[in-house]
Amino acid sequence: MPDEDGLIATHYRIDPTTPAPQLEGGHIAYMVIDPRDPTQKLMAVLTRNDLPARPRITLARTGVPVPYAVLPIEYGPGRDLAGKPGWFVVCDALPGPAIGIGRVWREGDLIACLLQPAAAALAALQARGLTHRAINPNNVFATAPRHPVTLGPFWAAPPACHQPAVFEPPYMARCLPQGRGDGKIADDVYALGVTMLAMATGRMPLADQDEAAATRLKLELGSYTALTTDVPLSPLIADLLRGMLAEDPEHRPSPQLLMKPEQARARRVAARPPRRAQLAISVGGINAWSARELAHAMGLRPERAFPLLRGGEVERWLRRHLGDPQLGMRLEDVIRQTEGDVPDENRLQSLLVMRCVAAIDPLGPLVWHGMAVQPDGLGGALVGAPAAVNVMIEEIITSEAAGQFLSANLRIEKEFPVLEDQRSWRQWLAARGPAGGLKRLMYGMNPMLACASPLLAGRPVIRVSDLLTALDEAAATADRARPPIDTHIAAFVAARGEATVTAGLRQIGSFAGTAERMVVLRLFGQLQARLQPGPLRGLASWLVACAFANVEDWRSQKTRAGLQEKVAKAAAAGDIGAIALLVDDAASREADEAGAAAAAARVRQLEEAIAGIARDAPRRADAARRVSTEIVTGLGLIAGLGAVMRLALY
Amino acid sequence: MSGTRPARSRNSAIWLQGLACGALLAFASPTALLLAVMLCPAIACTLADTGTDKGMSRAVAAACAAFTLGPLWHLWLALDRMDAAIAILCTPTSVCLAWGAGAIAWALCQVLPVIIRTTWDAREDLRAKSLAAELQTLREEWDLNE
Repeated sequence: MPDEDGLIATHYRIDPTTPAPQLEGGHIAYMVIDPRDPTQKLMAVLTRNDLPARPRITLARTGVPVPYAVLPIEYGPGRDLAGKPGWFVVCDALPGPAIGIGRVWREGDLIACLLQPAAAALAALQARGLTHRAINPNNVFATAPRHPVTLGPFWAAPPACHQPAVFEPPYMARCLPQGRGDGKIADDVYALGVTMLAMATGRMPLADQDEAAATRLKLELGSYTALTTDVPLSPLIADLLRGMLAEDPEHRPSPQLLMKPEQARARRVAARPPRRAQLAISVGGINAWSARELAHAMGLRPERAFPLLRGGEVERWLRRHLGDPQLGMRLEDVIRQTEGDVPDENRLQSLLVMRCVAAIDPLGPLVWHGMAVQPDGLGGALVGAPAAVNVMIEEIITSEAAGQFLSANLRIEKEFPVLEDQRSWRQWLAARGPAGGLKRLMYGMNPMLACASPLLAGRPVIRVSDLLTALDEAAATADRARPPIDTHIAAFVAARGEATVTAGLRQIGSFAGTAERMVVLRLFGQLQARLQPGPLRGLASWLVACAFANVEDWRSQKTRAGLQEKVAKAAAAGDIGAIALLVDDAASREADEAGAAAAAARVRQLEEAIAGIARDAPRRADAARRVSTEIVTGLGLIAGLGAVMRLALY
Repeated sequence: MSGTRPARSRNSAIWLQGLACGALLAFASPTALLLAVMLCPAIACTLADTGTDKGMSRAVAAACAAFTLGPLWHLWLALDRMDAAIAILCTPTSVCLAWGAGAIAWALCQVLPVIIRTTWDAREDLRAKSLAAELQTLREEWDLNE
């Protein structure tokens, strides 16, 4: 959690006097000062709780500096100017405002000030295994016109999350914005190409088309043709854009090559133009003339594509009209194999369409019930998604569709660690109880996602150690009738915590029972002991108030009173571990149970004795009478004996 | 058959007692008269006592008998004559002592049980209270419902 003095990442202080540039995606930036080196021009970008930062952000901080791109220097908690806590990414300040669209750039400026600096930045990112995925005129900054540009921030949100569809290749543009995945550096080259085109013309490409129409146009004509029709371009720029906007990422020039535009221009990949059919095939009212258009239409209208696939119309169209018998044969294999693999008719439609789309268009995204997503973007797509999307992603994971997608479109599997990951995904999804299911999946797949529990009242929690302190703070204003844990927190802890600590969470189904609450108390105690966040008085009191430290099931009132006193003391000291130890003492519990059993036996004895006293009253009266007569008889006998002795002496 | 044996022996005892009494009346009439008068409270108590053990009768008889031994000794010293028996019976102290002793014995048999029972009940009440207190403590301590 942030320092009380409001420093960001323990070092940086917001400079309220200097305005920070506007960033896209609703991210707020502040200029910050590093007291250790006040001459540095630094900026802090406030991340959004509802958007996870890119998990490989820490990679960007290592190694030699990346030219012409702002990379994170620090990532940590802090407070904004209003004192509200948040997580900030500290980076070098941007050189100036975004280049924007409006001024027409000359060829020399495009090459020297945009292409070469951006390509240098992309080359450096590629060397670190990173992609930018946010290149567009609103996220490229320059000190002044005709100065080298700097690529803007790209790590505070999922890849290409805020990227306009026109800057994305068609196979990415179709995907959910948060489900586009990391992609490849070639996708950045594509975005850079569209940015160059926008700056060369001074207007947004395909501005008159909506995103779906622009994507369809790109599929129909090819990106280069769709974007540059009727656009006057210099030969050099046109040649460069032809390569940068190639449909196949393998055909686009590398960033290293783009740093030498003349060489990049000379390298022309002779891509075979896609086959076009003489007669279009209609899928749900969408006419397709090529295989990619067909895959696109099938992805959009899976319910219409399914009967066409099973009826053989698609295969016949591929063979007869498109003239691609090999693709037709492959499709036939995929259909036969899928029908054999999936006996369930309900799942068959989704899987068959997905596999066929992947077979027809190897570049295409994973399509599922009309939704498109990249396999490595599934996690991002889960965040803040509507219920219908969640259900679809759940189906994708339970069907292991991601792995089938990769194998169906013949991509190299090692490009995505999906096949290794999807077993874990299924386990997370199948996990029962509050720490399992979709939420577990969401936090597991998005390691930088803040915990979205309403109990935290908007406090940003990225790490488990922050969770404890955030809950401790929230305890002051929280409704203590509600427990300080919910399914979000349980799933978050299960995703971020160590397996040994969080094992108990997997064994409970709710937080209602005493045993379940004991598991939660033990968990918080172990986390506190392991993470050492200091005393957690608020959270400890909250747990006690919610009966998580329940001593009422102790049988002995004396023990209960003693325990309550000790628990209250531990809560006042903020030591949850001590509370857990007090309440979770097996030996004491056994002694308590044994004492209760002995007490019950003694109570039965006492009740019997008391009842016997009342019951024996007549017997006592009779005995008293008998004893009395015996005494009197004895006295008479003694008197008689006395009389005999007197007579004898007389 | 076994149930009739005590009844038969009791009947035998009655017959033997009757025979003894008859013999006493026949061969020692003064003694019988003296005993009959002196032990009158015991005889009356025996007839009135409905208890199974006849404890009160025994007590009264023992008391009366203790004060009958002296006059009986005097009678026998006077050779068991009828006039001596009448003279002894006409002596108020002799009869009064025997009857008084019987009355005191009877009174003691009435009063002593009350005193002893009251003492014992008080002691048992104290014990019951102590047990109830212990019971209450245990119930409160261990939440054991009644």
